[in-house]
Amino acid sequence: METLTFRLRRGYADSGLGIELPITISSGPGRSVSILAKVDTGAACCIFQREYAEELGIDVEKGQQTKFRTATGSFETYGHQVALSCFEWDFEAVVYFAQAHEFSRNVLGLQGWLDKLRFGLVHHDQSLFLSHYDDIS
Amino acid sequence: MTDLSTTDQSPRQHYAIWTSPKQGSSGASLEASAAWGALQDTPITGPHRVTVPAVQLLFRKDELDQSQAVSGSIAACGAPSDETTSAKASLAQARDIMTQLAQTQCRAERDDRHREAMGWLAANRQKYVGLWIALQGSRLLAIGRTAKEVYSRIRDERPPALVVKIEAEDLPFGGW
Repeated sequence: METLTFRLRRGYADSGLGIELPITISSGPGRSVSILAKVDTGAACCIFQREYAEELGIDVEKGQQTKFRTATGSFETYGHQVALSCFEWDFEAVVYFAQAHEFSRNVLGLQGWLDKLRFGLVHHDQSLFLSHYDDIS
Repeated sequence: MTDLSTTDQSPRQHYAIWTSPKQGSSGASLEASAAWGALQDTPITGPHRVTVPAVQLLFRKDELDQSQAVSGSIAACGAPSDETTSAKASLAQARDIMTQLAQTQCRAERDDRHREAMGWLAANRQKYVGLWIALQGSRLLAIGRTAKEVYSRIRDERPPALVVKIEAEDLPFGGW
């Protein structure tokens, strides 16, 4: 029998919108945006709408150009180093901002978010269990 | 089989007065002060012993666990022996603890705002499909057709408001 211990448990609405979490992205002192992003274990990275980068004063096209593929095609993004804040944790991560204004999703993927945390999900109860990776062994 | 357990720290809406425990009459007594900023500038003139009056801190019940952990830390750094721990070092530890407390409180307040915003969105999202909106807790601050328009109206808002575009969700999201 294995036991997993988590620091916090959060409920989420079973609204059909996915598991949406509030996070804060910061690009420097006094430059923060608060947004909603969906947890997506199928996404390789964290990807956000371009508008947030613009509000953070980030020159989107100066980042690391990266193309992501989807089931129906692909889209262009640019990677930038930012600070992410979620619940009680803050960490630095490279995240990607969409090139197109039409891109309308914000996702928390494997690199930059899930790789920093211990993550448990019981969707039957709409419960999310989280710890920072370093919180417990 | 996997057993999931958690120390749930979800903020609740009840408040309680928590008094930091006293360290006893012998030895130095260091107790958390809500106005720790005042401690920062306290000149250390006497040799090695300092007593800061006990104060009461207003905490939410859900923060009590963390507060008690902090009080444990305070106990650990209290009663410094003259030989090993200077009053200055104890004060520095107390400042660190107070900083941690302030961060905890700040995060709990942010959690509350997010919870209220999520509740508001669940009830009202359909009315704003296609628009960008800014929320501070359950307070709608701005509506606009573009993010720029909304951000320009909440430029001075602190802490930063939650800004989202409300997408039409007539079809369930199929992933990528």
